Amino acid sequence: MSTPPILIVAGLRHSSVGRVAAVLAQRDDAVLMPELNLCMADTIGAWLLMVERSQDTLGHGLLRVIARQQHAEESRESIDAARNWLWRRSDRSTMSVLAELRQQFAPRRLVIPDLNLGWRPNYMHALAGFSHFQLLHVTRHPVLHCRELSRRLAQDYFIAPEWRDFCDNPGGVLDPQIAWYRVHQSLRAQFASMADDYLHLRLEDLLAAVETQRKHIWQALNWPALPNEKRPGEIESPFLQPGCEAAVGGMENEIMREPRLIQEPRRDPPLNTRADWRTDKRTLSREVQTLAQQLGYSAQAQV
Amino acid sequence: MAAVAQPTPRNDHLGLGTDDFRLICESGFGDGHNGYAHSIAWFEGRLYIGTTRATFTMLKVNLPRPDWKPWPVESPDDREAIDRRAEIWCYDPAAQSWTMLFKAPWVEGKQGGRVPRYVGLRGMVVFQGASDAKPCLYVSTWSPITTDPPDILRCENGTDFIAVPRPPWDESVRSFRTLQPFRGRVHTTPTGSNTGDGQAQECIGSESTIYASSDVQNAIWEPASADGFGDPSNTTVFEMATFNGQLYAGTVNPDRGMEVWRTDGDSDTLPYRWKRVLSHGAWRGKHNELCLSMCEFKGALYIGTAIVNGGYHRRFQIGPAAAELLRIWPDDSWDLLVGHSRLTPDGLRYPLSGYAPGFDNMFGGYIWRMAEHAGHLYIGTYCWINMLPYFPRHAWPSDVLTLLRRLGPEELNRLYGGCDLWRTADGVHFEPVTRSGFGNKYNWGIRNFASSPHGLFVATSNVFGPRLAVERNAQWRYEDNPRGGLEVYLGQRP
Repeated sequence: MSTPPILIVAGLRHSSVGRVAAVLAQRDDAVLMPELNLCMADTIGAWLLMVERSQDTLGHGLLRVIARQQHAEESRESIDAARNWLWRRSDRSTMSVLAELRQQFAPRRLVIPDLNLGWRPNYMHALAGFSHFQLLHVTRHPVLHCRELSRRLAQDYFIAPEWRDFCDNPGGVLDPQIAWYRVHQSLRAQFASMADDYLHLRLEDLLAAVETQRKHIWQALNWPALPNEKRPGEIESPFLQPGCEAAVGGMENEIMREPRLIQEPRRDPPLNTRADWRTDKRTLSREVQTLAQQLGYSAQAQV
Repeated sequence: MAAVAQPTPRNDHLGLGTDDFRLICESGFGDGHNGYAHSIAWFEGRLYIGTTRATFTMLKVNLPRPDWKPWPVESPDDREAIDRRAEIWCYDPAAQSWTMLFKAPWVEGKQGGRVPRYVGLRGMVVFQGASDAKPCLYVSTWSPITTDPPDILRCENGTDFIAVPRPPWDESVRSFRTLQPFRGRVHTTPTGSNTGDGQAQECIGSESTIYASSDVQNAIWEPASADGFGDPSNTTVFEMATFNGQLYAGTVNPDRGMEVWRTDGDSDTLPYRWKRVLSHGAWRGKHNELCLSMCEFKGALYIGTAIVNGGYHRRFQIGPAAAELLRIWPDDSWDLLVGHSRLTPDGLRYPLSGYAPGFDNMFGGYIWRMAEHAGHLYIGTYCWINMLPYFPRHAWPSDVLTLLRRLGPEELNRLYGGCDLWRTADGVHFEPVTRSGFGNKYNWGIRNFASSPHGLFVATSNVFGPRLAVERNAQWRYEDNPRGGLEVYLGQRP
């Protein structure tokens, strides 16, 4: 029995990465995972310490998967047991646990959304060493994406430095375009040379024709054709809903509120648009515009 | 008798990890007042370390005095009540033993009484000047205000240190640091000053001219640059290095952020022509107030930044903020490796390593020292977290207070206490060697490195000796601190 490679769906938050993963996992030979974030540490012990210190829900996805796999349910007790399961593997590498999960779900392939992979070379380096994976790199038009990121970040109590521009400004000003560039440039530089195992997807292309584009992606990833495909709207996975109180997360909140991808017509603004989330009237930076064009976005408006 | 250690084939090219280091000097050579391994050199098969002593005792009487309660280390109000005479120690790898070769003399103070001639030794270099028969060890010094400005110490035979005349500085110059060889000359600049009214600044010189000499022994010094490169806001030229056939110099600039300059062209005529490579703290502004460290590595010049006084400049009220790591290429372009993202006039920059300032440690005030060893760059930081109990809490940054509320001071100290040592083979992927001062949280900084055939020597700054203020049952008292005082480690991979 062959074990297919896992599919990592990587991108930046608020670009429907989890929804894309869900739509692609709508096959009998695939299973949708929540965000596991295993690449963020070398060993399980370090991973547990990291999630313990974090105020985020970084660890919830993996705990939920293990709870369901070991105890067929999510409850405080099964989440505690999942944590203990991981502690017993403290000295093991995170990638060996990913391999163990891959084997446990075989012959189904794992589809794993990942919003953190592109932030650090060490994370990407860890995944690159895993070798049994394919990577779908999801991008969204930088102007539309940064507008939404700015709007959502502005509602947060604390805005992490990664979303700010610190040019001659000790406090920094909110500007997600640097993060957009950083994550997409890094993912592209690290993985684009993987030939058949790397695929870039513009979210706008998928939203324009979800069912057609989904077939193209499966074909491009060399996944076998199946007779009974589910329609993109028929999404079912426990991880698209909040978990129990002990591990509530695992996906972006917005995706757990609305897990479906909604088809929509394309309305790309021109790339030299003013970065209207800033007050200084500057346009999108030259580097961001260049990378966007390399990723297939047109300098002109696309409707 | 100590066993004789022979250099053995090693695998240092694979990169040194924590377990490859062993402690070869503890507790400030047995004297907790030796808090800074302020200078280091590998000279004729032996390691030399110059110390600076009792810095907290000195800070207690300088102005502006830090608002610390209680004073972290037991310090008399009369600083001369402590023997502050700087020392030079030598390590013989064959005998695995240390010898003190030099202790600064007592001299008659200007206001009477005896004072140390030197309280610190901030730099060392091996250099052969025009009248030197062979390469000699030269040492830069730090003098108290009650005596003459600092001299240069010269050592030819490996054991005797003789003072040679200093560059033409005025009385306000109290210390200098870097001694940088370049095209047959050695270059230096003042880095500490005192105007005589207690207004001392250990990282701000009273002038910012680079002086050059091809004959240090005969004190033939000439200016190699204009004062502050023609800009008074460059208050000090703090660090220098050679790279790509040019001399590079980094400044302290409290107004706009540090600048990096390099010589322009191949003229040997003094003063040199200079070209500015970085300004405005690499566009971070004042939070990169200071160019603190420089090191050439695999075709680029790596730059460590800081804010003076450990990440918070008391006089100018800059910071607190953690340090960044940058690199400059021969074409003057630059990368941000560790730090904050920004859209600069030079283009978009984000930290290529992924790490935020201080290697993700907001208490990491300095990227203090760097060295190449066996194909890896080693980077040492300074971390001020174990000063938290003594700081006025109303002045703490909100992010620190948030962390404190979540974790408590003991957990914070456990998690972040002690300096970091990192290594990289490419400037992008970094591995921690230690994030806890080699398990001693009182090692607040990696102060010096020396790469040698015997391995990599790492010397720390640890000012928490000999007696530390400790809180017991809501009462503060001073207790002996056996882990206080500088430490030296030798790293070699079997």
